[in-house]
Amino acid sequence: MRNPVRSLQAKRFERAIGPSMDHLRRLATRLTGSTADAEDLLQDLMLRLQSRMEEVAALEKPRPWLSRVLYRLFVDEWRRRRSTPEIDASVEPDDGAGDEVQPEDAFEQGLTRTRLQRALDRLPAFQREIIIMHDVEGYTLVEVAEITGTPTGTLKSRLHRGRGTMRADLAGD
Amino acid sequence: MNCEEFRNLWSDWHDGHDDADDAAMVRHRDTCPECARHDRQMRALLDGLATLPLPGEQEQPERAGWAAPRWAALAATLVIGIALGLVLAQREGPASTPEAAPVELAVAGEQRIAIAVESPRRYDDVEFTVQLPEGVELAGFPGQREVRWTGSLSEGRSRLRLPLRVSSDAWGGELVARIRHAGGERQLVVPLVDGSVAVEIDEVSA
Repeated sequence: MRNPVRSLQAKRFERAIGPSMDHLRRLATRLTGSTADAEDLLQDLMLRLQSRMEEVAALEKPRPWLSRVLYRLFVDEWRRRRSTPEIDASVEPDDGAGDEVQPEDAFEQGLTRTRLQRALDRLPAFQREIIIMHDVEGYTLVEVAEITGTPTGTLKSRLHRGRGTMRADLAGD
Repeated sequence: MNCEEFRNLWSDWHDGHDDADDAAMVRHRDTCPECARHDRQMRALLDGLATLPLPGEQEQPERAGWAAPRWAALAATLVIGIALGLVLAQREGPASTPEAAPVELAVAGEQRIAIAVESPRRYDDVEFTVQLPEGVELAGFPGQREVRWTGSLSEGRSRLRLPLRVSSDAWGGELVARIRHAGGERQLVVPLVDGSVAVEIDEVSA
């Protein structure tokens, strides 16, 4: 038999998370690096939140809270899986592009999305994740601090090092 | 300001934090060719990152003769994951070419095959080759019936993900995945058959 209180709670829960789903899916896709894994991560998130429906439904601004829970779930249970080696044939083959690039322009012209994504993937997780949020997705430093629970000073330092590592990697330094 | 200070402060300067003196940064950049190059490269890097597509949303080149509008319509519904196994031996053994269970091709659209690769140890300079039948191509490599690249394989299980584009006139054939490494070579044949029946998930080992 249906529990009317539970049903109402579920509706309020859905109303609370509904507007944030696209945002969460996008963040999950960036963090996991694949749409399929992002869907799995979101499923895990929803399972976790089932027992906290009331808390979620009562949130004034659910998006930052949900982003934080999603991020913690990713760090605790998913980050390790991302490090599982994967080869993506759509990005690995060398099609020979860029062979005639002049040295002065080589860096800029060689910045294909594939090379950028690979350089990003090679960063340590704690640098990659802040670059994803700040430089790719455009979160402010304060928002990243709120989601990751990391002080802004630390984030600035990681951002600096991560960008520097990517530049050196792409420049072949 | 010297070059080291310029580079250490670059991120703060770019992001508008107070730690960097704007006038001093500009002055140094305008008088130091190396730091001007560093500045250009960093800006190009950040411009690139800001427009990086979401994984799975890579731009695909279109090719005349392929049903582009149908790709768009069907892409969302025809992504199929298939796990097939390919085990690399520690030492080169007798040549073997396992054949996977047949895979039903999408009528037209995008279809993903994931081949699980078990490796006893890490291999660098591994050569991957994928041969495709008529009407099937690897996304991003239009018109290429054989795509070859090199990479590395870590110890344990890796996944070789092959995002395929199936044209409306594809009738089937064989997909051959070949992995050549210091310890030898392994090959997996995946029969691709025309049809619209649901795909079975099978495991095959060499």
